[in-house]
Amino acid sequence: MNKPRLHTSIVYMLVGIAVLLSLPHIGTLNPLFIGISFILFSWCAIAQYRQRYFPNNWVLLPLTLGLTFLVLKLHGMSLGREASSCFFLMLLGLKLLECRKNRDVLAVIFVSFFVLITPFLFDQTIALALYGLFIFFLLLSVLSLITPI
Amino acid sequence: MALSLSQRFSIKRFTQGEVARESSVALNHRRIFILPNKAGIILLMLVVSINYSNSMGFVFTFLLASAAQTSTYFSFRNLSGLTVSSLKTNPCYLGQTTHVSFNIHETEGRERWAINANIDGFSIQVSHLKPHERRRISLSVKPNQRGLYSPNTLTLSTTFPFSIFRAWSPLLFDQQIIVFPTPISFNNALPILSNEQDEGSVTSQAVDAEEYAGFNPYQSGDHFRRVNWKAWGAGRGLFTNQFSAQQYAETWVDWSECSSPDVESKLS
Repeated sequence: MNKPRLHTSIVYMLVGIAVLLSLPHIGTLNPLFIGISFILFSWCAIAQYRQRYFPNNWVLLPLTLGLTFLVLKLHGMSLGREASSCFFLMLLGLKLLECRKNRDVLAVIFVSFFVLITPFLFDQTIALALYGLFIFFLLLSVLSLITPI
Repeated sequence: MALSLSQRFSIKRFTQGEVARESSVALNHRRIFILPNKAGIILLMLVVSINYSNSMGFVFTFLLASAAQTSTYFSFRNLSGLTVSSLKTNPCYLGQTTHVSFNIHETEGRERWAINANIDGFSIQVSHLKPHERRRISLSVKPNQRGLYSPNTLTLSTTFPFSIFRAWSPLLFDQQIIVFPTPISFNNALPILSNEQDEGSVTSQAVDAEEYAGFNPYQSGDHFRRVNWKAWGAGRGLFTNQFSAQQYAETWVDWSECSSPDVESKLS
């Protein structure tokens, strides 16, 4: 048994971190994408109750392509800092929906590290820095919690 | 025990382990290797921060990099100081899956976590080793050739704190498992030859059907029930009775007469 199933408490922690990560973006990014990312996070949280609600790969792939296209279109087909921040937030939501085994959680955590620094592209205050530091340590603790004992 | 320079840089040392010399190996600086484990996101963060000249981006990139660098020390320490020794193995038949056992002894008085032991694709997770604990692990191997089989490299690996670095230690031991040929059933495969020199070679198997067939002079070692006591009582000396039904069906197993053409089936 190489890849055991993911513990639900880890998933809840990751969803909580994802929500906290998207909060600093609320004023700066297009509200549509904030809404979509919240929908994706809550889909992942609800799907913990019934495994059936998890989207399989045939749903995820068109969803990924569709959201990428949407991001590009609404930002005028350019990849500035707003477009890439939206893109990585969508990526976080989609990766969360994809993770079922232990191995996939690492991908989610590393994308979260990346989304951690995107608010600083817009606004660099000390309060935001301390908030980011707090989330950084949350992520490090999740990293140490997922080691197979 | 020093290695020469060419031995130190050979690729095999990193993947297959050094040539087996002792039966018990202690893991130290020479035998543990460490490399990053698909954590390229740190580089991406660095590139983005440089691109936008963003100080806070740099802060978190370097913070993550320092956490990763500290974790190399802890990943190494998770494996260092363990003594691994191989245990005796039982012979098996070709086609069966057998077990190879090792003894892991924690000598440094620290706790160990999440060590993965792997032979030839079969891996087992060694959880929480307590200080000074000896644990025995068994891994299944499937030999694919008859004869003496040396299992391949045992790789102990761990990604202990953050899964950012993977420390591994390839170990080769000198143990050998004897693998016998696959046994085939006797019902149809073995040709029974008749041999003219052996009279009565295929006779009844029943022990009770004993026909008296004469006697021979007594040889030491003959069963006392077959000794002709009457003759001895009459003063004629010790004689042994011969019974014709004692000869069971003999089957000569002849190498050249086997019907299947290849060596392995003949050995079976």
